[in-house]
Amino acid sequence: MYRSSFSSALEHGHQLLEEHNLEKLMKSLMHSSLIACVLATLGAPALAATDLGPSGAETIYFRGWPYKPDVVADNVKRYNDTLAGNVDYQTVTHGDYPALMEKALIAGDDLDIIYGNPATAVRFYEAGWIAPADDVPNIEAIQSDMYENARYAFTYKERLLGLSYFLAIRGMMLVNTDRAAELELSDAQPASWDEFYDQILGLNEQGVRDLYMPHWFNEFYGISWAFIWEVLNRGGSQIDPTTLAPAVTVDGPAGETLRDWKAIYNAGMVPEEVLSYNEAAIVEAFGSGRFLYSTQASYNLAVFNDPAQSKVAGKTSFLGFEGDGWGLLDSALYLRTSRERSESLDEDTKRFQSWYGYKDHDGKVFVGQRWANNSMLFSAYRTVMESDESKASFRKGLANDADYDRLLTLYAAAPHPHMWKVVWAEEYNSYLRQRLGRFLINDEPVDAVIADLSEKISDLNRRHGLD
Amino acid sequence: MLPSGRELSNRQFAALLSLPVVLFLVLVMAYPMGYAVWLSLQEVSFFGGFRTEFVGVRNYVEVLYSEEFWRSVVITVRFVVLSVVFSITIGLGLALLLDRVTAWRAALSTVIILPWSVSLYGAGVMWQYLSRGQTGVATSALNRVMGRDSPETAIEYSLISSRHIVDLLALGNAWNLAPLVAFFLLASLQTIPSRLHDLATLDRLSAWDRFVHVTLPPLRYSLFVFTTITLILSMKLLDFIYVMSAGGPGDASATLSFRLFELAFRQSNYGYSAAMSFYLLILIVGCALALLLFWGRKLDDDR
Repeated sequence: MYRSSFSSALEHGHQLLEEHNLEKLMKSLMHSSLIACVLATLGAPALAATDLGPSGAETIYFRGWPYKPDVVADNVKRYNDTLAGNVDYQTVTHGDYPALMEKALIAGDDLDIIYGNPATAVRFYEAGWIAPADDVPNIEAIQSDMYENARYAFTYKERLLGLSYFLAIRGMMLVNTDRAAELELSDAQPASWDEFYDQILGLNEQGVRDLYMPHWFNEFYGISWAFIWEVLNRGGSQIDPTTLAPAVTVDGPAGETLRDWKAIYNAGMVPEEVLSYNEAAIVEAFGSGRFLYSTQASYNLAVFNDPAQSKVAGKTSFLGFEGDGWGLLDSALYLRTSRERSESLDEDTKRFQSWYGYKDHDGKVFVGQRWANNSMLFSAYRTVMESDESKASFRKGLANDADYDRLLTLYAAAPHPHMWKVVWAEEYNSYLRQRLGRFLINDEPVDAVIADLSEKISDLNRRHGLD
Repeated sequence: MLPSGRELSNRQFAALLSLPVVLFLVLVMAYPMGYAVWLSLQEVSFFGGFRTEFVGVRNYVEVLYSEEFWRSVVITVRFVVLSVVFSITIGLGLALLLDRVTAWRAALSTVIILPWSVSLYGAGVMWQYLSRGQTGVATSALNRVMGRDSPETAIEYSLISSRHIVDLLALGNAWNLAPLVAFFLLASLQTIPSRLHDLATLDRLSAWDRFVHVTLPPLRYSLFVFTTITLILSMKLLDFIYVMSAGGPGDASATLSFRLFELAFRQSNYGYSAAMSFYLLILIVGCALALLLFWGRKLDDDR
């Protein structure tokens, strides 16, 4: 059987994960990888063009955040031109996308296909605003082509909530290799968050500056997500997965994370204005070449290693998986709303969702492959991830060939927070953003923040009838 | 005139003229206000099925016990006071300038009115770019003045800091509002007969005395009206703050209106945020009435 380097990387990751009690996650990932390799090799037959084109003339409203809208518009144009489709595509401001989309859905706006992160999808599903994707054309092929970690992230109450837009590791620890060499750190790279903070605090004491640009920016996926993944990577969680009771403690991973944050902030290693940045600003900061380390999204490797866009091209590597992991599995889906539509429009929407979120009329994962090729976005589908095109594209975004397998190992180990399968995750996220910023600025005690977080979680459980 | 032939008093006539507007406002406002009152007495959830639970005045009580609410009240007061002071001072300065200049007056007027024509969203983006540490023009200028202009230390002094962000937001807000104030004050300035200035010159009044005793008195009504307007607009301002600082760093610039947005739209806490919105309403109406009582009445009495 064909064994891709992705599968090899997964196996390597498997060994590492076993040593660190994450076997369960990896087992399921490996299982599905093996089954899927067979299916992907055989290839599921594509539906004919007529099966994915519209049956009526009603408009399908497609809305998303403005990430490369020109590419999306071009994809939509291809569908409209090739299959005589009637898809209307527009963007919604990114900064507050979940909140804005939620209000549009409450208001009953005309929406058919929308972007969403898994936490948003869970929330919208509970509100009855989206329909699961279990009944779109090609669903059997879609399910079998999907990696287990992606399926876990996209599934809620045993329903697949949407089709894959992208996956990425958010919070991977990028390293400016020039600066690392200059500081003689090339062979002394930290293997865990504890080692990382010990190292940069030590260097700071020696007078070294610009060591770390953290992911503490002021967007819904900024400082809040940074806290969530650091706690996860240290083996903790915000909530008990069964009872949903608060699981943050002063002496546990949450308290450790806050103490480390306070230490680097109070040492003047992170300027206060980072708390008011957007994502572009931290990308710009690390791309300037000043910083030794920075927590970023994996797809930004393509930006940093592009000489046209950064001063650290060819010099941006990352810390590999050595046990604790770095970051979390960031992902997004194409969701289908459950608004009232005619039967034919409903069918057309499913067809478009399948065409856009999986294989087109030619039997190719056109959209997913395009994102992999031009933006280094991972896909939930083996067909994309294991294609030669993707390998070539991902390698182009890396500083060296060895990083390719390390990247895939890190990806395989990236956790999907269980908290994102709770309906109030977005609300907690919004609360965290301000609370954590205030903690740093006002130098508040760790136990006060932990007490507030626990109280907030309990209050959210109570408000949503989950206590 | 009434059917009996009795004339209406000024107050009655004013009430009669205002009646259609008042009726229209009641019609337009009744539903949203009523709905907000209803929401404030409920706990609302859209998830796991839409449901509401009557909780009485619990939301109102919880707001009063909330540390975040009081922090936002303090931030709001600071932001509003600074916004009013900056808007009126800059507006008055611009009005005096336009009143004095003769050459290029039309061009100058156009330049001065421009900030007012910029949307608050656009103003927010522009001010954010000016003050950002990495690339902000104003930040770069500040760092140069402070001798910190090398690329390595470019963000040593940042304009976006928790200590000064409210002041910066107030300045940006005033940048947007001051032109409007300036043009209305200019209209009042131009009603001052030139002979009053001539007489003041004959009396050898100093420039300051001329400003206090000749220029300022006719502006009192306009100043009162625009102080009230800028106060109300600043208290309910959201877009500029949302774009420029998003309430940050942390929640250092989370005014009451921003906190409400955060609670209602990001945290979907509808009942609680509806209750908090009534405290904001009380603050706005209270401040406007206080101005009327302590300043507006005095103007009436002086007349």
